Amino acid sequence: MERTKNQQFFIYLGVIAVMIFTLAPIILLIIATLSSGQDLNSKTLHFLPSHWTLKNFTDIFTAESNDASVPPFMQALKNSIIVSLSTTFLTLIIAILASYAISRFRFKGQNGLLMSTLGFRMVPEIALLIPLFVIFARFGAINNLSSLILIYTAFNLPFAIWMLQGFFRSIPKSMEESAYLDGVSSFGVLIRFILPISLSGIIATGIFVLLASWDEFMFASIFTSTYDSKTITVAISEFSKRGMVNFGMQITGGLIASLPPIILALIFQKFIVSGLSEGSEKG
Amino acid sequence: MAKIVMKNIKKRYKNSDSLTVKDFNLSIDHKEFIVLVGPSGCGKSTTLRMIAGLEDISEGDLLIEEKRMNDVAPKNRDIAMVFQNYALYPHMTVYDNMAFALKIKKMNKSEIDLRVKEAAKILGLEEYLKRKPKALSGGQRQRVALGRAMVRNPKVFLMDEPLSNLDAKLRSHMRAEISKLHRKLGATTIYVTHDQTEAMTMASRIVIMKDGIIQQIGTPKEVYDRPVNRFVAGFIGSPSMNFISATCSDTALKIGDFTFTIPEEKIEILKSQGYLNKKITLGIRPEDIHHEPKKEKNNSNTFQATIDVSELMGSESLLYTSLGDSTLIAKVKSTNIANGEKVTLSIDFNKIHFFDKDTEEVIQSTNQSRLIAIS
Ligand SMILES: Nc1ncnc2c1ncn2[C@@H]1O[C@H](COP(=O)(O)OP(=O)(O)OP(=O)(O)O)[C@@H](O)[C@H]1O
Ligand SMILES: [Mg+2]
Repeated sequence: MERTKNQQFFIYLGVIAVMIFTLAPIILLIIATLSSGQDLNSKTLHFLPSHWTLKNFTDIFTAESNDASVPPFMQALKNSIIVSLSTTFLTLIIAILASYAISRFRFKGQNGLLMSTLGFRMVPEIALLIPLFVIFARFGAINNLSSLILIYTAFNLPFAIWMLQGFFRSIPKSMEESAYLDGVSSFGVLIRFILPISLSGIIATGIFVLLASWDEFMFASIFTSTYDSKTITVAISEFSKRGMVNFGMQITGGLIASLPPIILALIFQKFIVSGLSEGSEKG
Repeated sequence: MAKIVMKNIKKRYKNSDSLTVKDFNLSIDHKEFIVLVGPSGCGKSTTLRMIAGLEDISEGDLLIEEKRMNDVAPKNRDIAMVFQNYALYPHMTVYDNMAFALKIKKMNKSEIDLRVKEAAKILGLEEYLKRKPKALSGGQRQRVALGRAMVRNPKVFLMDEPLSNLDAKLRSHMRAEISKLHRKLGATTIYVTHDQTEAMTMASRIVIMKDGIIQQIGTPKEVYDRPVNRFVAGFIGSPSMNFISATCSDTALKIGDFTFTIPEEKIEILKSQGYLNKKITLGIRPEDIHHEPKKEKNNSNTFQATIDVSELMGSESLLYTSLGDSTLIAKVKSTNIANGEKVTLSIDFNKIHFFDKDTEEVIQSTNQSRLIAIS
């Protein structure tokens, strides 16, 4: 169907409106990071700063903390990277093995198992916060990156298993049987066939998990109270202390924290598009 | 090239309470091309999958080259299978799809290359070797599936309706290709199909199954000329054999109000088996009914028929009419018969079959049944 000039005009108008709505806050954020503290705290509103400065950026990376519990920004960034990458890695490994078994083998209690993973997901996280804290504290596992990794993995697994077993189920069983006849073992089928064919699904799942653990604040804020364990979300929140709010640092921290997800999404964009398993069966 | 023996093989699926394959006995010789046919759900794929090792054999023995294979892993059976849905590896090129099994076997690269290139040449796939399966047409994918089986040079080929999704022209082309390939490679082949023509033209022997039970095993000619029961008679041949109720006295055959004189030997068969003057089922193939344009009325083997529908099939026509209270299909040479026309048809009574009304078994003379038992 050919669109008339008029129709096209309204479509573009709509697109521009949506773009302004979504991009405006980000642009304001970027402008704010380049403004001085004076501009940010002044009573009169201005859209552009009176003078541009990179002070917020130099400060956030160089400032030493005078509070022993608050890590410098770089340390928090490092902690977050460790936690989210490890969580993603661990979640994917467990989820891949579990979903493959669930999608391919029949065993007793299979449906119950699958439903219970989903059921676990239904429990509000906040309901588990205190009990988990008590348990971890008892084992002396507070202020520890591994504890965060473990908790994040547990919370992300149900989602990852559901996603992946959907991808795995869509791979025709006869293709695997063909591989068995060609001399491949069960594990070989997983490594050589299932993984490469569902790579896009696995990467998409991985990115979701990565973002979820990168953004997580509630558990991190309760489970960490030391320099070595605080993640970036916690660190950003601590730029505002009682009686003193450092807008510049908080905004700059927020901007930096939002960069890795954006970069990842751009890099893996082509994998998030599915369609790699096409062509195994009849056309 | 292998001898396959299947002894009393049974299959019961875990979640089913009846047997899917009941007592399957078949002995396949070197280089044979066995075609399994039967209606949907009769257990053809199940049988094939048991031979491949993709399904457990519930009971009985599977021997390949005199070795019991029941508990041998699929990959150690030296069998290649072409799946109904092709089951290509979507993430590999056509070349790698074919080379894969050989790479797993750690065959050296130049040998692999030689085999893949040769198979590609035979199958006309040379220009597609670098493509992924999704960039191929259905027919090309099907040939890749064949090629993948071919390069392995297996003892046994299993094929599950490999041509079922191709158009008629490509199907007849591939049919010829597979037959040629079989003559060239000589690997024992078991082939499942729904298609009459495939079964009749490719098979060295046809196995007809129904509800998990073998009905008849024989060469295409045997199962066509001497079906052992009404099911086989109706299943083999297209269009299907006509079945008509009739009674036969020691002089004539009565179908409804019509009376026919039939050959002495045919009456003799009924007499010897005690079916004279009893209701029997008569089987007449459409191709054994002829059009008699010269109207030799009241000949002992002709009757007047009103043609309900006449379908032109090219060099022949299918005539739908009725005889007694059964509908009848005739396949005749003449092509200019109009719907509703009255014509004279004759029946070649030398080629008719008799079936018991209740058991549906064929009624045949005692020495003829001995002949079938031996074959
Ligand atoms: N995994 C299974 N579990 C239980 N029953 C099964 C299973 N696979 C097949 N069956 C049943 O066994 C019967 C035979 O199936 P099979 O696939 O062998 O039929 P087929 O002769 O190949 O039919 P088609 O011509 O339609 O391919 C069917 O009734 C089917 O429902
Ligand atoms: Mg089948």
